Amino acid sequence: MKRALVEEFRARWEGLGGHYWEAAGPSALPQVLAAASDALVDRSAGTTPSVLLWPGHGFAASAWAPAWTGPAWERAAVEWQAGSLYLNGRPAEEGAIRALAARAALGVTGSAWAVADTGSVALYRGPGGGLWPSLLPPAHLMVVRASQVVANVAEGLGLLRGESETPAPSAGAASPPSRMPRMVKIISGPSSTADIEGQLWIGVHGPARVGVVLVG
Amino acid sequence: MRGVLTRDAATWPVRRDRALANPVLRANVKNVTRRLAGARQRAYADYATGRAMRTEARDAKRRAIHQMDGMVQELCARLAANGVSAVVADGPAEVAEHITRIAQRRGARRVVKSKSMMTEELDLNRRLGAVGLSVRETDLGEYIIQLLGERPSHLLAPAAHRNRQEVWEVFQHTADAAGVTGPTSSDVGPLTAFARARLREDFLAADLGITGANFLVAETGTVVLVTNEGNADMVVSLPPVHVVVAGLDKVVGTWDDLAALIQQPALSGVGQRLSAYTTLISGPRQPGELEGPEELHVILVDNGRRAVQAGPYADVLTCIRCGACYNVCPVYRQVGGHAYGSTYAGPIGAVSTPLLAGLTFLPELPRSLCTLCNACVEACPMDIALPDHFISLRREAAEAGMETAATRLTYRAWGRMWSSPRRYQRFVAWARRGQPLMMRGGKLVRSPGLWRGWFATRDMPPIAPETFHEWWARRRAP
Ligand code: SF4
Repeated sequence: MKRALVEEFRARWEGLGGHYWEAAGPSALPQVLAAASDALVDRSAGTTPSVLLWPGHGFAASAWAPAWTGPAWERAAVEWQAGSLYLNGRPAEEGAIRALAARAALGVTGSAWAVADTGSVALYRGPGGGLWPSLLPPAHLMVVRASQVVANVAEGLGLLRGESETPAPSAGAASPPSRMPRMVKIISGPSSTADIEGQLWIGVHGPARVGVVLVG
Repeated sequence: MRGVLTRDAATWPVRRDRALANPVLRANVKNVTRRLAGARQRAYADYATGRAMRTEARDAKRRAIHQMDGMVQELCARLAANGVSAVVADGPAEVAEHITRIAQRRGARRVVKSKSMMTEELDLNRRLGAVGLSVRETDLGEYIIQLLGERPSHLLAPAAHRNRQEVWEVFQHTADAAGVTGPTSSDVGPLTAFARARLREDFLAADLGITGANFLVAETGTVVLVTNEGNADMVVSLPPVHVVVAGLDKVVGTWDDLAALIQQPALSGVGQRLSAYTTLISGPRQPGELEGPEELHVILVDNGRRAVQAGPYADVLTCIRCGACYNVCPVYRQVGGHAYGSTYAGPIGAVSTPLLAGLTFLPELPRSLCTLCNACVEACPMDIALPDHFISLRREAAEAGMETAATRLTYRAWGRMWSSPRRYQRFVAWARRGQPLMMRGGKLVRSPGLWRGWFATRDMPPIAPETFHEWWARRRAP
C-alpha cells in the first residue's frame, strides 16, 4: 500500500519537473544526499558551492552532514538543541542564517509529509526548522520519510490539523492560541512563471531545481 | 455601503477601439486565454477527484458568503488569539491609513508586494506612494507592468498584453536608470534572470511585505496563499512585518472547507492540481524561531461587499479569481482586460464592477460586454450564474431609466412588432420594400437607427422575394 503511494508520488513529482532519489535507510542517506547534491548544483561558476542544511521536522543535521564533507563543499548546518538554535555549533543569529541562505547554492531540509495525488511536499516552519533553505538558494533538496507519504492533500491537511489540536478553552478563558505551525509551505515542483508571452520558465524567484530523497 | 473602484477616464468606445487596434495585445491575449482554457479542461478531464472536490468547494464558498458576518467575527477572534492584529476596513482610504500607521510605527519605507487583485482594486500602490512609501511589485508580470506604469490585463497573466521585445525595452531602461547591466537578450531566460536579480535585492532590503489572500480560514485563523513563482513566500518570510489585505469574501469556515477549496484555483486557473507554492500562515514568528515576520496584520476589506452580500447577486462573492471565465469569454478574448476600464475584467468583472461600485459606475459593462453565449457559467468552478446576472442587471438598468430614449423607443417598437405573427409578417413585407436602399452586391450592408453599428463589420442576406410564410400561405390557398 505505502509502496503504491510512493510510486504515485514519484510519478507526479517527476511530472512536475522535480528530481527524485531513494535511500534504503538512514545509514544510506548521506551517500544518496551527496549524489543528489552533485546533480542539483550547478558548478559552472567555478567557486566552491555552499550548502545550507536546516532539517527541522525531527531530523538531526549531524546525521546528514557527512554528505558535504571535504573541499568540494562549504557547509553550514542549523540545528535545534536543548531549546535553541545553533549554527555550526554556535548559538545561531538570524542575520547570519539569512546571509548564508541568500548565497547558498543548495538548501537542504526535511519535510512534514508528501502527497501522492498532487506530487507535493509540505514543510513546516517551527522552532526546529526554517523555510529559507527552500526559498533563497537556486536548488533545494528535501528528505521525505516513506511513512510520511499520504494519499491526498486533505489527508496531509488532516495531519497538520491533528498536530495542532488546541486544548478546549477553559470556562471563562479567552480562546487559546493555536499550536498550528506558524507557516506551512506545500511545494509542488520548481518556482515557475508564464508571465512573458505565456512561455513556461522555471526558477523565477525560488529554486529552479528541486529534489526529493525518499528514505525508507 | 458602496465600494470605491478605480476607472479609466476613457469612454467604452475609446477603450474598445484602442484594444482592437493593438495587434500585440490581441495576439497575446488570444494565446494566453487559449492555453489556459485548454489546460483547465485537460486538468479536470482526467481527474474525477478534482471534479468531486469542485462541488464541495462551491458549497463551502456559498456557505461562507451566506454567513459572512459570523465567519468574519470568528476569524478575527482566532487571529487575535494567534497574535495577529485583525481589522475590518470600509474602503481604500481606511486601508491605506492603516498600513501607513503600521509603517510609521515601524519606521518602514521599503515595501514588497505579491500579486493581489484586492490591492489593485484599492489602488493601494498609488495611495502608499503618496505618503512616501516605495512599493515594489514582485510577481514577474506585475513587475513588468509596474515599470510600464500600467495595470494588469488578466487575473493570472497581468502582462498578457505585452510581448518579450517590449519587456526587453523596459528592462533595458530600468537597468540604465539603475546603472546595472540589462538582460543580454529578449529571450525569456535572460529577461527572467534580470528580474530575479533585481527583485532579490528588493526582497532582502524590504521592511514591510504586503500580500492578498486566496483564503482565510475562520476556524484556525489561517491565511492561505497560492502562487507559482514563489514571490509571495519571499514577501511573507523576509521582511519583519507582513500585512495581509483581503476582501471579506475570502473568509471560509472550516479546515475541511479549505481542503475542498485548496486545489481549485490551480485546477481552474492554470490546469495544475496544485500551484507550485501553497503557503499557510497562522501567526507571526514564535519564541525560539529565527525566521518569519515579527508582526502579522490582517486587514479585511468591505469596499461594497456587504451590500452585495445582502442582495440577489451574492453568489458573485464566491468567485475565487481563477480567470476561467475570462479565458472562455468571446468578448474578453477580443479586447483583453484594459477595455473593461476597471480592476476586474471578463464576465465576472463586467458583473461585479457595477455591483461593487453602483449601477451607474461603468454601466456599459453589463450592457455591452456580453453576448449571452453562456461559456462563462460552464467554465466557472463556483457555478456563478453570470449570464442570469447580465440579464437582470440589464433589466435593472432599463427599469431605472438608464437607457437613452432612442434605445427605449426602438426596443419597445421592436418588441411590439415581433411579438405577434401578423405584425411580424407586416414588418417583413415593409422592410423588404425598404431594403434596396440598404443593399450592395446583393447583400444587406446598412441599416437605419440602432442597428447601424451591427452592420459596421457584418452584412446579411436580404429578405427573400417570397418568405417561407408567404410560400406556405400561397400553397395552402384554395
Ligand atoms: S467567476 Fe468563476 S470562472 Fe470567473 S474568475 Fe470567478 S471563480 Fe473563476
